[in-house]
This record gives sequence, C-alpha cells and structure tokens, in this order.
Amino acid sequence: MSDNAGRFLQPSGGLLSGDVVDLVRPELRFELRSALNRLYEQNMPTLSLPIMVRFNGNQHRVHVLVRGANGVEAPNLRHAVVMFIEGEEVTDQVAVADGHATGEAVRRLTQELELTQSRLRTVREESDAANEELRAANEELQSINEEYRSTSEELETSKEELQSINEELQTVNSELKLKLETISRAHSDLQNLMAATDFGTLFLDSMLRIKRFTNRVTELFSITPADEGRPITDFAHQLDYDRLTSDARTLLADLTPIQREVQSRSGRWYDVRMRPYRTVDDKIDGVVITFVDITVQKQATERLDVMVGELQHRTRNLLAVVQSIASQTIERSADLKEFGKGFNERLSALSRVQSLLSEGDTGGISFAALVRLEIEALGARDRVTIDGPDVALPLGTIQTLALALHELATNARKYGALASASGTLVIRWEVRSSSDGGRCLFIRWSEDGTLETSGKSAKPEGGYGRVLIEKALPYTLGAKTTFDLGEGKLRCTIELPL
Amino acid sequence: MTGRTLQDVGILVVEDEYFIAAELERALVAWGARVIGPFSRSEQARVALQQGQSPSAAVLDINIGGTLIYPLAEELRAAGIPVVFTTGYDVSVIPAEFKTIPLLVKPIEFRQLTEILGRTFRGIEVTGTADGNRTSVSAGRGRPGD
Repeated sequence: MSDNAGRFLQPSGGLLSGDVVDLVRPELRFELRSALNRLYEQNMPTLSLPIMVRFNGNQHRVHVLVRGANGVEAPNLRHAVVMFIEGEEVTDQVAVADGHATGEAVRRLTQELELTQSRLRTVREESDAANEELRAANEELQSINEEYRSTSEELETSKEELQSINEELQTVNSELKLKLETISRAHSDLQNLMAATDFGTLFLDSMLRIKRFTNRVTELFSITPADEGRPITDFAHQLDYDRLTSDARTLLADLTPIQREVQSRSGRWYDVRMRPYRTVDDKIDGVVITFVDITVQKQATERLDVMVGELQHRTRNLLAVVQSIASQTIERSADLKEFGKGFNERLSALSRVQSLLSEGDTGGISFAALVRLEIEALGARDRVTIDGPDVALPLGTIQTLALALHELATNARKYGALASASGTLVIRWEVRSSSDGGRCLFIRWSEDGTLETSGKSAKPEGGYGRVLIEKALPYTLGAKTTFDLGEGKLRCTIELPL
Repeated sequence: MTGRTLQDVGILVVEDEYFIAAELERALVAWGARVIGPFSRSEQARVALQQGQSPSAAVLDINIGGTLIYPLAEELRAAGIPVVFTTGYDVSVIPAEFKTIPLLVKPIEFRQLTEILGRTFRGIEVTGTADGNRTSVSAGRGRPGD
C-alpha cells in the first residue's frame, strides 16, 4: 500500500476484514470488486470509469485501475495491483456549469443514479451476505456429505463383518446340531437303560432333592415323575431304614460309599448302596442310591444255612446212633467176629434208610417202601407177604422204625420163619384212629414155622431187637408195642402215632 | 473225676433217643446221681417238676422230636437250676440268650459231661441231713459255665 492510498480507504464497521473490497471507500467497492473479478476470472486489467468520491466535502473523480501484479499475467498468481487515480475537484459550480446545458433533467438523473447506486449497493451487500450463507451452507453440506460417505464405508465394513459372523454362526449351528443329535441319542440310551434296569436307582442332588429315578424306586417311595425337584425327605418310604437321609448327608460330607442290607415293610430285603454323584468334570453334585432286591438270594442263603444246620444235626445224630448201636452190639457180642458181623449189618440198615431219607426229603416216606427195603435186603421174597395201604411216615420216626424192622427181619432170617424151610412171614398194616383221637399206623408182624422157640429167646441179637421194639419205640416215638414169642411162631404189633 | 462225684444229686434228663438216654442215665447213675427221667418229651419233664421233683441240674437235648427245648430251659434257668445242652446242631444255631449255657455236641463224650457238671457243682454245697436219707442242695448264684 502506497503512502497516499490511505485517503481511499474507509473500512466498514464490524470485524476487521482482510478483504480489500471491504477496506476501500464504499463508493469504490462495487467497481473494485468487479475489476478484481475480471482480473481473476478473465486475466483482464480494468480501468474504471470516473467515480465520484467525496473527500472532506469535495467531490473528486477517481479512476480505479486493477491489473495483475508486476505485470506478470500468470493465472496462478492471485496478486493484483489496485491503483486509484484521483481527478480534480468537481465543484457544484462546475456541475452547475456543466449542467447548464442539461439542466434540471441531468440533476434528476444524477439523483436517480445515486439512488440506484445506493440500492445497488444494498442489493450487493444483501447478495454478499446471501453468498456467504450459501458458502457456509455448501461447506456444511460438504462435511455432511463426507460424514455420509464415511458412514457408508463403515456400514460396508459392518456388513462384511456381519457376513463373516453369519458364516461362523452357521458353522457353530451345524456343530451344535451334531452335538444335539449325539445328546439326543445318549438321552434315549439313558432312558432305555433306566427302563431296562430291574433295580431301583435314585438320583438326588446335593440338597437331597429328587433328580431322576427308575421305575423300581416307586415300589419303595410313593413318588411320581411330577415329584422331581422335591426333597426326598418329604416322602415316606417302605424301608426299615430311618437313617437313609442321615446316611446320604454323611456320604456327601465324607464321600465314602455306603452299603446296607435293609428290609422293607413288606418283608423283602434290599441291598442299598449309596455313592456320590460325580459330574463329567469330577464335581460332586448329589447322591446315587441303588436298591437291589436281594430277597431271593437272602432266602436262598437262609435256606442253605438251615439245610447246613439240618445236615449237621442229622450227621451228629447219626453218629450218636452209630455210637449207641456199637455199644449195644458190644454188650451182646461174645467176640470181636460176632461184633463185626452184627455191627456191619446194622450199619448197612442205617445206610439204606439214610439214602431213603435223602430221596424222600420233600414228601414223606411210605411205610411200604421202608418194609420193602428191609425185605429186599433179606433176599427171601417168595415166603413173605406184604400188605397194607400207602401211608406216609413222619420223617422223625423213620430211623428208629427202620432199625426195628431191620432187627425183626434179621432175626427172621437167622432164627425165625425164614431160617426154616417152610416158615412164612406176613407183614400187614393199616391206619387206625388211636384212643386219644389221633391217627396211628397199626403194624402186625407175624411169623409162623419159626426155627427157634421161646425157650431160646435170650440170644444177643434178639435181645437188641426186643429192646428196640419194647423200649426204644415206645420211648422215642410214643408207640405201643407187643412182642410175643410162642411155640414156632412170633407175633409182634406196633401202634405208631402218625 | 473220681467215682461218685454226683452222689445223690438229682439230675433231670430230657433226650428223645432211647439208647442215648439210656447211656446217659447209666453214666449219671454210675457217678452216684439220682436221675429224674429220662424223658423223651419236655411235657413229661414238666409233669415231673409239677409233681414235686426238684433237680439240682438238667441235661437237655435241644431238639426233642422236632420241637425245641428252649421254653423248658428258660423255666429251669428262671428257677435257678443249671442246665447243660446236648445237641446235634452247631453252636451257631443256638439263640443268643442261651449262648452262655454249656453245650455238648453229639455224640456225647461222657467225660466231658462229668467235667461240665463238676464245674457246675463246684458252687453247690452238698450236705447230708441228720437221717442221711435226704440231701438238700442249694444252688450257687452263678449260671452254669460262668
């Protein structure tokens, strides 16, 4: 800016603007702006027409010259040189002088021109303001546009991400589907297993609430599938096992499996086992209780125990009988040879009746079978008559009765009817009602044509037989007996209570 | 064990097997005892007791013709009379309340019976009365086998 440029400047009010158009006097602004535009847009220097500018009340003509800086008319350089060329003062007189010719019309035109110029200025200012606003709006639109663009890019990225997530989800979904199938198969296996197990299994959680159970459990606890989730302590059970819940709590505390044999109120026996419920990752999450019905095993064991006891009893009693046979035979034997013979025969009789006893364990043993056993051992069936109904003997009577029959048969063979050539033996029996109202077996043993007579009845074997019949049968079996040895005959009767 | 250890001591015998009963009786008599019985049914023994027999000890077979002798054993024990069991059964089948009673497993060894009865009567005072015909026996407090 040159030294004398100041008189052409008059900044407008408001913020100090760097725009040269705003700095110059208002009269010059329009010309300067259009000249600058012309220079920047068309690279054309401009010399304006004279503009009337009032300095200190005097009007001067001023020309505005605008051209490119340093005369270099390069389009890139946005520099311009503005020169103000001031003319001589124009006085009103001059104007009047000039206007002599033109007169009133010129003055009016001039006034109109001034009016128009000022209007134009206003319009220009308004246009400037509008222009500013438009520019601002444009900038805003541009920034909004940029924002839109970046949002759009972000959306694009998001879309891609969503797509990849979608793909991952699809993969996971198909994996889940596979797993679900496996689980469903496992579940159906479990259901079948639960249905197929023939013993009670009860799953409780750590608060002793019912989780799951097999059908057999409902025999012991009055629970239904609807009761799952309720504490087992709410339900009555059929077991004689008051410590069930305290046992379960103990198990949860020290994790040692518990096993008990427990009886139910209906008399059945159960093998109750408690174990901790371990999850797949080895956490304790409740109790598994199994109830196995061991009634049959228990009964079998008991039966076996009874049988073993009975066997022992029988064996020992048999030994006692053998012992007594031995001592009785010793008493009645003249020498060891005689003892050996008699003892062996009696042991054989005992052995025969033992096999009969073990065969007839379930039912009774018929008296006819007992008789035939002895007579067959005798080996002389043609002169023997056996006749009587089928009578089952009480087991306890058989041993003693068999020994008595053996003694009778042996004596018959040695000294009695079967020792002679023509003797006969008749054994008949029948069931009678005894004097005390019960039933009894009445046996009649008749020998005719015996070898020996009553005079020689004091022989040792006869002695043992007589003691058996006259003493042992009444004593042990409560039988009534008679034993008569007559001339060439023997009559023996045994009335045995049944 | 010398000769007549059980001089004039009354001993009740219940045994359903004739020959065993006979031998028991013979052995007890040989030791000087006075045998009450032998009986083949516990009811017979009860009748004898009701008729005033007062044994100082009893030798009882556990299984008498299929019925068990325990009720009679309990009655005798309640009356303070020592009991000895004879049986073919194993010791394990004897009910817990009778486990303290001495048990002779068949076939009986008579020497064993003497020993048991001797031990039983160590706590019994045998005193002859003035005329010497009657003997009063007072049983010790302890149960047999204690």
